[in-house]
Formats: sequence, structure tokens, C-alpha cells
Amino acid sequence: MSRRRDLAAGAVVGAVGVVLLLAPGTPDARTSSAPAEVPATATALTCAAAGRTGQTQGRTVVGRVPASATGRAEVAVRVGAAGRLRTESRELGPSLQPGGGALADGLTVRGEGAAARGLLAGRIDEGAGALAVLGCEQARGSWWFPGAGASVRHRTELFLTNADEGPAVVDVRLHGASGTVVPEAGRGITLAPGESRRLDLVDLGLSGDEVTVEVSADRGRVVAAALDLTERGTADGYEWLAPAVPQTSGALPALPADSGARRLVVTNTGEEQALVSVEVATADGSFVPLGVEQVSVDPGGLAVVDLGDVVTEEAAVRLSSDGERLVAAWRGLVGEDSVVAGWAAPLGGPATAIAAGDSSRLELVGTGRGAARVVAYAADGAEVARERLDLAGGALVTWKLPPRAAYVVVDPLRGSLAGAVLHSGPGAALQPLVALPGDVLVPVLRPRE
Amino acid sequence: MTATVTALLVSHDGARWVPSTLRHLAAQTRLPDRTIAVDDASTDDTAQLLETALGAGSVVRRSSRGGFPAAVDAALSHLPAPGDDPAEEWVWILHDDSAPAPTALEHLLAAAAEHPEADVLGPKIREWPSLRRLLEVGVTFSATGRRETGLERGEYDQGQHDSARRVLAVNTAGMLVRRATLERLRFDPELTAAHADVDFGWRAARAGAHVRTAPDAVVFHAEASRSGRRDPDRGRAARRREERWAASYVLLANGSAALLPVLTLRLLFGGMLRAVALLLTRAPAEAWGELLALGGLARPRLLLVARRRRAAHARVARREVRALLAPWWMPYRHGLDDLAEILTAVGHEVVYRVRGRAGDRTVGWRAWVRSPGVAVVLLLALSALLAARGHLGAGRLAGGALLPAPESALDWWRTYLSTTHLVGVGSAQTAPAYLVPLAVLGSVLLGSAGLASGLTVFGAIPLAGAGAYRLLVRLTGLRGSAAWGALVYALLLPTTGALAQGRLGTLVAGALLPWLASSASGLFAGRSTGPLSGDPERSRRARWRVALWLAAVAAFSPLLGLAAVVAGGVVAVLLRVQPTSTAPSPPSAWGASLAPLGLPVLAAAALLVPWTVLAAPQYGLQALLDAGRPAAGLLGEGGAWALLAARPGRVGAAPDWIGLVTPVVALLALLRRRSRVAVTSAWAVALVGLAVAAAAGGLEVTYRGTGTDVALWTGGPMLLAHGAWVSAAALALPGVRHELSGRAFGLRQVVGLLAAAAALVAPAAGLAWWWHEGAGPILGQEGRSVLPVYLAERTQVDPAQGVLVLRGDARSGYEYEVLHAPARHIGDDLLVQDPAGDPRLSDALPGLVSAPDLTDVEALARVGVAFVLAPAPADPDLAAALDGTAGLARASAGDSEGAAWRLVTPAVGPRVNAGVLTWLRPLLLLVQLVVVVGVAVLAAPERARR
Repeated sequence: MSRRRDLAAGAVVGAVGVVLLLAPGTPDARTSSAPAEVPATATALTCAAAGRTGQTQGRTVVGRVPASATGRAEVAVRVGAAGRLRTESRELGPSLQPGGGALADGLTVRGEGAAARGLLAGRIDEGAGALAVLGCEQARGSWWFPGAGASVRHRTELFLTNADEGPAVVDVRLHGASGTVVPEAGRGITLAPGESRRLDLVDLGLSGDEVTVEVSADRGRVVAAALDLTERGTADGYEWLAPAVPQTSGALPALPADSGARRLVVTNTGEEQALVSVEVATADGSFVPLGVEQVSVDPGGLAVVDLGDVVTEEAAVRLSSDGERLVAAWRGLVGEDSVVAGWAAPLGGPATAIAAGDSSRLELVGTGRGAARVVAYAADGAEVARERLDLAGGALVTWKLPPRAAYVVVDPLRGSLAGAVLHSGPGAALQPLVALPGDVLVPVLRPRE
Repeated sequence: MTATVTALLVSHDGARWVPSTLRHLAAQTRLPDRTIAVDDASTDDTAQLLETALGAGSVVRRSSRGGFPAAVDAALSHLPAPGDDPAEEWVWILHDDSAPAPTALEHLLAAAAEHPEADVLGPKIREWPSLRRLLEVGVTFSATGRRETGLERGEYDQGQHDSARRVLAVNTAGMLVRRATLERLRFDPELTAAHADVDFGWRAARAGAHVRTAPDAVVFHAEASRSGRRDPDRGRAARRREERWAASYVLLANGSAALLPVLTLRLLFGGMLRAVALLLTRAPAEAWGELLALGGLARPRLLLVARRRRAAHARVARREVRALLAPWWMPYRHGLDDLAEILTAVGHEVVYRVRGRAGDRTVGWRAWVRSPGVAVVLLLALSALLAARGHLGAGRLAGGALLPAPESALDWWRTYLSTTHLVGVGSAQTAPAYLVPLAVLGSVLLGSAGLASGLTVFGAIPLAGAGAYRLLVRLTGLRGSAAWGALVYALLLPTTGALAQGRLGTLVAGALLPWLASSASGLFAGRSTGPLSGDPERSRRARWRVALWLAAVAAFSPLLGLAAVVAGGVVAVLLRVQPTSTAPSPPSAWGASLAPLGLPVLAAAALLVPWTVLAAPQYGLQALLDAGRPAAGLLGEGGAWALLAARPGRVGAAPDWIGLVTPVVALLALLRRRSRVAVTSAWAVALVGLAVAAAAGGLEVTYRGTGTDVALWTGGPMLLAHGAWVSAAALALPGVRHELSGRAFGLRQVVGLLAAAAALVAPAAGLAWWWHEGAGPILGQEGRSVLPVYLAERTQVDPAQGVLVLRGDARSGYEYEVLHAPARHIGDDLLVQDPAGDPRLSDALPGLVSAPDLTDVEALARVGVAFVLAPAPADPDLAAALDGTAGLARASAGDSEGAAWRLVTPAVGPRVNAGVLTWLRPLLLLVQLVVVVGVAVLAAPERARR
């Protein structure tokens, strides 16, 4: 009897041991918070409705890069400030074609479904010995334009377009040497759906030869563009300023070798003092310019550095801050025309730029070693050149677009690259590469438990 | 002028009493002038007995049973024509079970001579066979149809009611009535079972006749019909129905016409009220009879005829008769008496339960206060109060697995009783069964669901202690070890992290588990031998109590319910195999040993009925989740260590070693030979708990609220395992000190001392840890409302207008929910279904956070979304994109409460097609109601019967 009890007790404890040995761990929760990249299903690119400058004439172009599927895209041309849209639906093949409509009307090209991918659009302003190229952009809530001006000799016109279907309310802020200024007239600017607005920074009641313009939407989204006008002799030089995205380090593509006095403008978008390191990248490699190794910028303020003496050859500039996010630009003058190199963001995927002027040249600058595939296409979509560009550490690489090329697509393969296309003759223009609408990030969606 | 008396004996199956009755009749000092007997179709030898005694010529045999009135009619038709002086012809009615005292007729006739105006005379009726107890000395009727005798129940006759008086009616047993009056009025043929005498007296009074008592005359009456001895086959329900129907009939046939509607309503409500009261006092048959009798109210034609007949005889105004009826306040006095009786019965039972049966037998509050169990429960209650500070009353008790309580307990009732729910994009899921106890508690607390939730969460810990103490006292008979075990077990609730993580299901089920075990031990009380032997009646009642506890445990923690059933089976088999027989039982007997569990388990399943039927098709394995959100992010790593230390969660638990002490002490408990059998059984229960916890711990179930696979919280079965280990340790304690001190110092003493030290330190450390941690930081993280005030108000005005809440940003992802109330509430955890799983929204939600357009917005409107809210800090990119989307208009003014948009398209409330559930679920709820009432009655304390 007692023996049986001992056995039973032993068996039960043994069974408990077995259960403990076999006890599985808790299964891991398979949750992902990384956004997924999915093909965009709707894209709208908008170019500023800027016709009042008078001196400019030019054209708009719309197209799709050949790699993307065909499909119908809707091209909308805006008419008048009230924002009534004249819309036409067009088959956009792998070609670049005139956008139609007057420059003053602006342009929105909207692609849905398959046509949402690979859309590109831009406007080319030329005449009176000057050249400016503007890539059309998607609407967003925050825009920065370093390199603007609010003086008689150097002034900037801001074009705001609300391409969405809800109202937008924006504030225009200026960052000058003395810090941030929010002009009364720049507060609470309301744009009805589809409305476009032109604002002259001088009219906002500000002054300053070098300023950085910030457009920040309180409600909704806008597409902003800044046309920079420089008084030179009989005619103004003009240039579309490249929109900048604040980041702690970035590159300014090379100005042409004959750009004369080059001025670097750096704005600190952060809340703390920023110490900015300057590095110059040439085709042969990079160096730290003597005397301007580091620039200190006040929060919300702006520093102007004359690099005319330091950099004479064709070179890009790389800037990095000790923590605060920056926007920057540097400007020069080619003949009568101003040329501004904007704060080029590292390419996250295929990017594009249209060709303009007599000749166009692609510039790529990286932080380390890198490589990119560049393909140039003719207006009818035919491939005219293809090249793999390798970047040595920190060097500048340039690639001349063939004469027939209407646009170029840059696909980063390796490393962190930024770039722009320099158009020249007559005048000069630096156009930043615009990301090709392709995949969009769809954030992870989780139902709340 | 001498009276002529005909004795009229009515009999039916009265062979048991007839000889005695006839003997008494023959022994009368004044013999009746003739005797006639009517046998109403007896099936025994009553008729033969009568014929032998009286001669065949004096017995009328009726072949089919017609009841008392018909029998009297039959006898009257056999009487010869009245003689010269019809006024002095009397009929003396006797029942077969009524034996007149020798002087009965003499006194009756004397009274008749003294009061010549009297037409009907009734004797004093005493109980037969006790002979001294008074039954009736005249009777009247209350407005609720109750016979009023004016006597206390079981009152002894000491001559205190010996004054003759005019009354409404007298019992037909021993009634002396003028033949003319009887032939004129007759007994109403409808009243075959009860109250024929009252009706007769009432009609006689209206007809101008006088009814008097003659207390000097005594008749002994067995009341065989009323007590059911005459027809033992007839159920209590049928007797109750007949009695109540007759009462209604008498009242409505004789009552004032103007008061008929009031009377009818009063009878209807009174009947239902009595049915409820009878149910509460565990008299279901009588309750059923009450309800059946109400059906008799719906026979207007019968009443019309009866009233016409009465009107034809009426000579006296109604108000003159009224003085003979019972006063108006009489029913209320009886009601108060009954209520007091019910409360006393329930009170006795409660005291009995709390004190426990085995240990605290000592009477008086002093002993009760000194009980270590009370000290432990008080300590736990005070500690719970300490932990609850800042969480009670403010309505902010939510976080982890616990959702906030709704505004009112009515919301819980509404959710439970509804088939479709305004939760998320609409749901036809079956509401969880645990809402019922919560709703009941909330209703008791005057509708405060918040208080109910707080009381449930924090009250669970002292409740667990009280239950564990009771169980352990029962198992060990030692109050000290029971108090220790109760403290260790109750502290498991906070130390496992169940409290800190807001695991409502585990808290409640863990608190009820010892009560379940305690009742379950009563299941085996019917056994004649063995440790838990006892009263078979208790064992029968225990089944229903086990069913109730098990249903409650399974409703809050299905896993624990499952483990408890398996453990019950194991214990049943072990009890069969182990102690009594020397030879092991054959396996075939194991099935038999499981039999006592069958009924409770089936009854528990029936108690949870809409859920038991619908859970599998609607929820699948999700039905295994405890009450509350899964909160899988708070789960621990699982594995052997988690099982040993009872650490199902990653956060909110006490240091592991506190939990590890219990299994170690339980292992040492096995070393004691004397208690090894019981300790092994406890280990077997622990094995079941561990096995269920281990199996469930590796499982993933799809939680429909998020559409994701989640791991299960296994705290419930772990509580069973650790509870069993606590019991094992407590079972080994009795006599251990004596045993150790009686031996030479050695290893035994060292081990024993170490075990005792560990066993004492662990609960102390656990308690200290709990005092320090309180309820932890997770509870109270969530407010009562997710929505800003203006949106919360909107949802309260029109709950069909849903709010889509989008939290987070594009980089780390968005968390969304659709709200139709300021927040989701306890109970919604099981109802809510992932909106993205809805085909109408599968494209719209991703679209809304990447490239929103009008199509997405319209899809939202179609599922009842009227607003979109991005709580502060709202993602600026999302806000900008939604600002620019057609069909959305900003609704929020500032950004402090986040950004909100109104859908321009009016929202169509979420339409849910419940399909067959539209009729099936209400039907199942009805079934549940019946089962709950039935089981509650069967498990309830019995009414003290006098």
C-alpha cells in the first residue's frame, strides 16, 4: 500500500517534470512597424502658375519614363487665380510632350492607377539670355527655399498653388541674418481648393539681400515655387530656387566654373545654435576650405559665406551640422543670369530631370563611394545613352547629356548620392533631380486592441 | 319541534380514515336521524367499507369523479322529500377524513337552537391526528384570495377561540346546514378542490343567510386533500394551481363588479410576485402552479355565468357582507411575515457559508472576529484598498487588458441583450457571458459600472482569500494552515501580475476558483465513506452550486474553467481509486466515478447558453481568451520557469523567487508519509493546471479585434496549479510540529524548518511587494474617453455617428479604431472586429493614410464613420493630406486635442446583418434565463419549512 503511494507520488511529480520540460515559450508577436512600399495609385505633379514675370517665355512638358506601364493620365491646366481647372485626359506614352496651356495658367498632371508611376513634368523658362527650369512637384505641407532675396537687386516671387480639394492655410516665414521674421501679411494665407497665389517677398514688407523663405501649411498642403530675380544690367537674371528639405547634412551641386562670386547661404532650421562643417568636392576629391572650415548659425537664422575666393573651379559643397537640421543654397552668376544650386537631398530611388538650354550636364556628388545608372531619353521615349557612373569617395562626377536627350533618369545603385542637372546657354540653370513618382510608403496600419 | 339531521358523508379514496370516521359518527351522543354516504369514485375499498357499515341503501356510489359539489348534489337527490317542518331539517356534512368528537352534533344542534337565525353552523376544527392543534374556527377570505382563519399556524386549542360568532364561512367538514338553504344555494360545481366552503358562505351571506361558529362542537380533520395525502400522485404544482385558481374564481365571482379590473390586476401581479418569492425559497413546483393558475383569469365567460347566478340569489347589500371579509391590511401583514421568513432563511445560509462548516463551529461574533481567516481577509481587503487608492471612483481604472467601465450598468445590460452592437464597424458577435455578473453587480451598486469594475478588480483578492480559507479549513481542519494558504493563494493575484496588467478574467475566475473547489468537495458528500463523505442532500445541492461557480469561472476565464473541469475529473478518479478499497478499481469504474461531474458541467454549459452555442462558430479559438483585451504585448516568455514561478506576464509581477517558494514547499510536503495520499492528489491537480497552461502557452489564436494572431495569457490555469500546490503544503501541515519535536534533531528538522521559513517569508515578501507596487503603472493609463469633449458628446447624442481614430505617424505606423462611444468598454473586447477585415474598408484605410481621396472617404461613410480624429500630437503629413481630401472638412478648432475632420457625406450607421441570430439569440437568452433561474433555485438555500 505504502509502496503504491510512493509510486503514485513519484509518477505525478515526474509528470509535472515532463510538462515543465515540454512547456513551450510564448510565441513571438509578429508585428512590423516598417512602412511598406507599394506602387503609387495616384500622383499629382503641379507646376507654379507663373506668368506675370513678363520677361520669361517658355513651355511646359509632361511625360512618363519608358520603364513604366502605359495608361491614361489626366492633365489639368489651371486657368486664372480662381482655380477653375480645364482638364483633359490624355494618353501619356513613354514620351515627353508639351503640357499645353499658358505658363500663367500653371499645370497639374494627375495620373491614377498604372499612370501614377513614372510621371514627370516641368517648365522651362527661357529668354533674354536667361534660363530657368522647374520640376513640377507633389503637394506637401512644408517648403523651404534658401537663397531667396527681398531687396531691390535681388528679390524672390513666391508662387503657391493649392492643388487639393480642401482649403489650405499657410504661413510664410522669412529667415534672415537677424533670425526668423513672420510678416503680418504672411500669416494665415488661405487658398481655396485649386487656387494659385503669387507673393512678392518685397511686398510682404521685408528686406534683406539674402533670406530663406519657409512656407508652412497650417491646414492642407500646397505646392510652392520660388522664382528668384536678380537685377543685372538691362534684364533680370532669373532662376527657380530648388526647394530644400531640412536635414543635418547634404550637398550643394557644383556651380559652373565661370560663376564668379559664389555665396553660400546656410539656414539653421533647428532650435539650437548649429556648427556647420564645410567641405568642397571636386572631380579629383574633396577638401576642407581654409578659413571657412566651420560656420556657426543661430537657430532660425542665416549665415552667408563668400566662397568666391576659396572655390574657383567646378566644385560641389557638402555641409554637415553638429545636430541641427539645415537648409542651404549657393549662388553664382553666369553672364547676366543667376544660377543657384539648391540643397540636394540624397536620392531614395529613381529621380529625373528634364533637359533644357543648349546643353545639359548631370552632376552627382556622394558622401562616400557610390554608383548610379543614368539613362538619357529622347522626347519620343527612345533611349539615347546609358551609363554607369561610379563615384570615388567624396568626389564630384559629371556626365554630359547627349544633344538629343530630352530628360534623364538617375537610378542610385550604391552609396548616398545627391545630384542636379546644370543647363546652360543662353544663361544657366541648375535643376535638382526630382524623385520619380513610383512607389509610395504605406504606413503600417494596426487596429487598436 | 325537533330537528331532523341527515349526516352526509362524502368520501374519495379515504379507506385510511373512513373506519375511524364511521366509528366517531356512531359514537355521537346525539345520533343523526339518517346517514347517507356518497363515494366519489374511490379506487380503494372505501365504498365497500361504507356499505358494510351503513348498508348498501345508504351509500351512493358515483362511477366517475365529480368532486365535492357534485357528490353533495348526488346525496341531496337521494334524500326523501322534506318532512312537515322543512325549517328544522338539517344536513350535517362530513368528510371521510373528518372525525367528529362524540358531542359534536349535540353542541351544533344546541347552538342552532340558541341562534334560530343561523342557517349554517360550523364546529371548531382541530388537527387529526394530533388532536390539539386548531385548524379553523370559522374562516374568511382576504382580497388576495387567502383563507383567513385568524389563528396562528399550529396554535394549540386552549379554549382561547371558544366564543361563538357570526363568520363569513365555515369549513364543510362538520358543517351543519339547513337542508333548505343547502338545496337553494348548492355548492358551486366549479369549485371541486378548494374554497367551496368560502364561496358557499359568501353566497349564503349575500342571500341573507347566517353562518355561525359553534366552538363547543369539535371535529378532527386530517385535511387530506389540502396536504396531498389523498392524491399522492398529484404534484405540488397541480394542487397549487387548483387552490389558486379557486381563490381567484371565488374572489372574482363574488367581488364587487366595480372593483373587478383592480381585483384582476392585483391577482395577476400578486400571483407573479408569489411565484418569484416561491422560486427564491426553492419551491419551483409551487411557483409553476401559481403561474398556471394565472391562466384561469382569462376565462371571462365562466365568470360571467357565475356572477349572474350569484346575482339571482343576492338579497343583502354587498357592504353588509364586507364586515365578514378579512380587513384590507391583512395581505400586507402576511407579505411582511413572508419577507421576514425569506430573509431569515437566506441570512442563515450566508452565515453558514462564510463561517465554513468544519472549522469555525464556535458560535458568537467574538470567536468569529478571532478567526485567523477573518484576519487574513481583512488584511487582504485593507491591502487591496491601499492598492486601489487613486483608481476608485475617478473612473480611470483601465489599461493593459482592462477596458474602462461604461457610464452605467445599463450599458452592460444593453450590450448583453442586444444581438447587434454599435462597436467598430458594427458587430453581430455574441456578447460575452461575463457581462451578466458584472451587470448584476453594477445594478446592485445603483447602476455604477465604474464602481462595479473597481470592486471586481480589487475585491477579487480578499474574495480569493476568503474562498481559499474556507476550502482549506474544509480540507485540513486546521485554521492556522488554512489562513496561511489563503494568504499565499490570494497574493497570487497581484504577484502574478494579473492585477497590474488588468487581467479582469483571471482576477475574477481566480477569486471564484476556491469557492468552486469548496462546493465541488460537496459533490462527494454523498459517498458513504472517504474523506469527504457526508449528507446526500448536500451533495445534490452541491451539484447546482458547482454548476453556478463553474459557469462564472468559465465565463471570466475559459482556460481556467477547462482546467478546473479536467482537474475535477482527476480528483474524482483518484478518490475512487485511492483510499477505501485495497484493490485498485477496474478502469470501467472510472467512468462511474466521473458521473457526479456530468450534471454540473452540463448545467454550467447550459448556464452560459448563448455563448456556449455561438462561441465556437463565431469566435473559434478566440473563445479561450480571458475576459478583457489579449494585451499580448505584456505576456512573458513562457516556458518552465514561468510555470514554476507563476509568471505569465512580462510586467507587473513580483520577483520570481516569491512564486517559486510554493512549488518547493509543495515538493517538501510530499516527504510526509502520513499525508502523502492527499498531497499527491493536490499534485495531480497542479499537474492538470500546468499541462493546460503549458499547452495554451504555445498556442496562438486569431483575435478578431485586431485580425492578428495573439498568444494566450495563461494566468488562469497557473492559478489552479499554484492553488493546488498551496493546498498540498497546507495538507501536509497538520501534526507536523508534533511529529518533528518528537524526534531527535536531524535532517528532517532542518528541512522542515527551512520549508517553514520559506513558506512564511514568501507571503510576507509578496505582501510587502504589493504594498510597494500597488496596482502598478499600467492601470490608469487610459482615460475614460479617447475622444475630445465635442466628439464624445456627439457620440452620446447619436451613437450611430462613428469616429475613426488614427494614432501614430507614417514612420511607426498608425493605430486605428472606430468608436461609437467616448471609449471602448469592458465587454467590447470580444465584440469588436478589425475594421480592415471588413471588405468595405480593406482599401479605404490604407488609402486614407497614404493617398486619401473621395472614394476612401465615401467608403468610411458607408460603415458609419462620421468623423476622423488624429489625436494630438497629430501627424502633420497625415493632417495635411486629410485637409486636402475631398469629402472631409476640418471639425477641430485648435490642435491641442488633435485634428478632427467631419465627413461631408452623411454617415450611414453601421448596418449589421445578424442573419439567423436575429431570432436565435433572443431565444437562447430566454433559455439562459430559464436555466439561470432554475439552477439558482436548485442551488439556493432551502426555505425553512415548519
